Amino acid sequence: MTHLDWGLFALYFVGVVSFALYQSRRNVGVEGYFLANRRMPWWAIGLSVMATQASAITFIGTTGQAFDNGMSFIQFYLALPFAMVILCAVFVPFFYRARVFTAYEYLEGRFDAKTRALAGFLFLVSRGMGAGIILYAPAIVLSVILGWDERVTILVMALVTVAYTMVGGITAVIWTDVVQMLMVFGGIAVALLALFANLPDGVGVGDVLYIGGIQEMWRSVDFSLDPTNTYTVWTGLLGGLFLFLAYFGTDQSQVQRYLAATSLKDSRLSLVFNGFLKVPMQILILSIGVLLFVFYHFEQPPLVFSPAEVSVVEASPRAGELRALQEEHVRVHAQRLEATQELLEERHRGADVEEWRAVIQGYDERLRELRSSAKGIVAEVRGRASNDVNYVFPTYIVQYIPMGLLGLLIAVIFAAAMSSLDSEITALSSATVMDFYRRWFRREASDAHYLMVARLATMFWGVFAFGVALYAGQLGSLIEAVNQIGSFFYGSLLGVFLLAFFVKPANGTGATVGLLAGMGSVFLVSVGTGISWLYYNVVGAVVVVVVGTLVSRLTRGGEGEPA
Amino acid sequence: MRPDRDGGSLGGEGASDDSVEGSGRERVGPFPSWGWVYGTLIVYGVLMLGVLTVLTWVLDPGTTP
Repeated sequence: MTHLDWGLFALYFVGVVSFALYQSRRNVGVEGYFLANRRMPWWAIGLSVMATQASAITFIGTTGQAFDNGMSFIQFYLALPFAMVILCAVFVPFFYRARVFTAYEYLEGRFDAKTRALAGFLFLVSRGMGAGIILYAPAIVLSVILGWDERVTILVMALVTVAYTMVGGITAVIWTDVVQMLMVFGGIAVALLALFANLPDGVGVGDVLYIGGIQEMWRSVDFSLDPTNTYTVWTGLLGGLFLFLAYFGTDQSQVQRYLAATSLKDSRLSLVFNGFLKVPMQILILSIGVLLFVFYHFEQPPLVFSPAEVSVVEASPRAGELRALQEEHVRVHAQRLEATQELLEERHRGADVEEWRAVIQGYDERLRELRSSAKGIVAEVRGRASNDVNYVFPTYIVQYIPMGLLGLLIAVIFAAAMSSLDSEITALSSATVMDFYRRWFRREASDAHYLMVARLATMFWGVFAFGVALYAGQLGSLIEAVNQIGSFFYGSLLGVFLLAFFVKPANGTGATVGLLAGMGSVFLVSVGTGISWLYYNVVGAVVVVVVGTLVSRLTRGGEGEPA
Repeated sequence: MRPDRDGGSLGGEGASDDSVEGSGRERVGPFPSWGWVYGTLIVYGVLMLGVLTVLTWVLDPGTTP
């Protein structure tokens, strides 16, 4: 890191905090703090919705996944445009017209207080954990780049984010999200351009596409019907649809955003905006990972990118095994480099390159096996799965990104993380205050009192996220970890809202029993079957609707619900 | 408040609103109604899947999409 990089990095921190405080100067009262007095424009909310979902995990974990497994992760997002249509047509009008503060407040209006409390509690548990993981991701980056202790990095970032969120509330969060999301777009462009610029002379776009294609890295769709495979078109369309409906339709961190819109039209437009932009953005982010794969055909990649994981193995009795793998890795890479150069020469001459293609494919597979073996050793020595996938992109930017741009990209990774963290802790704070504190402990108090409690709750969740972040390193690939945590609760929560919207006779008892049955079913499916975790959302939602409807019919009359 | 008390189904509160906004007849930018916006988004989603399928086939000739 040069002085210029440090300067850009510091400028980001000072700029974002100043901007947040400036934008939040008109915030008055608890409605201003949690919903910006319902005066935000659609485009700002749309960018904030994207920024909330696209955390540093997206930037780091997704590129690393694409480096190892290609573009197949994009299938996860294929259902997003369809989910947005359902959300705009069904979910948003219900929430917006109910004039609620939280999604769970709606459930009390429709069902009863216990359903609201249970749903709110599940949200607090799952997203509280998620906030910790979001905080941990950039700490990995700085641990590589600066040699800082991850705990110090986590603390610094949590302090800054909590400070501006505490003071400015949702207004500060949404406006900083706008800036941070624009920075992420810029960072994606810079990373792609830098990767192309770092390729050897004479290697063109066509060559990059061809080399990536040798190992099927551009393979974006898989139509196989295997339900245990997370990355197929069908898993993405069905499991992804339910996940996105649950995330955007029942997670307070997203619902809070479109509740802050000036009108119902603005609320919907913010989601439509997201529906159009999200898939292309993910394609570009995944392309960075595939380009890294191609780039490392010409430069020697580390066998294991994480210095921490290498150190752990080197200090163990299995250091010799890792060294042997590293030596073979260097040897095979040199052979692949030679073969790649031969292939490109032949290709530029217009000759048949099928033979070279097969040779390179063999080297690619051997290198993949070596990396897999090394990760296996790391996992055995550490006693938990390797999370080396998260170190691929950070290692590249440290070694190959020129002065100035390095500071910018680091700031982008921070921006991605902070724009998600601030949204999560504001949402956690709103659910804590509105669904629990004001509902159960202090029903009548001044606006100033609730505002003070809201700020304290924001601080509490910042501290909680910090605590979780200290242990997040044990969760393997971060992006999957966040989504897996959500999948245990999300589908069932979605089921409760579907019950509320579509099943007229449904009552509170039915919803609560259905919710518990849904979560129980997801647990049983997760331990008893090998199906992809993306289907957990489908299982949870369907069980809640079926059980909730049956129980409601059985208990009809007892609660005075409409028949 | 029980916002959905009189209409818990889709045909209730959301769809029975008579105001122009949200009724489906509202003009949305260049689109004549929300139905057009949703239709465009659905076609866009299908096109994305189609484009990715073709790209997979073109760029990874060894695979059968």
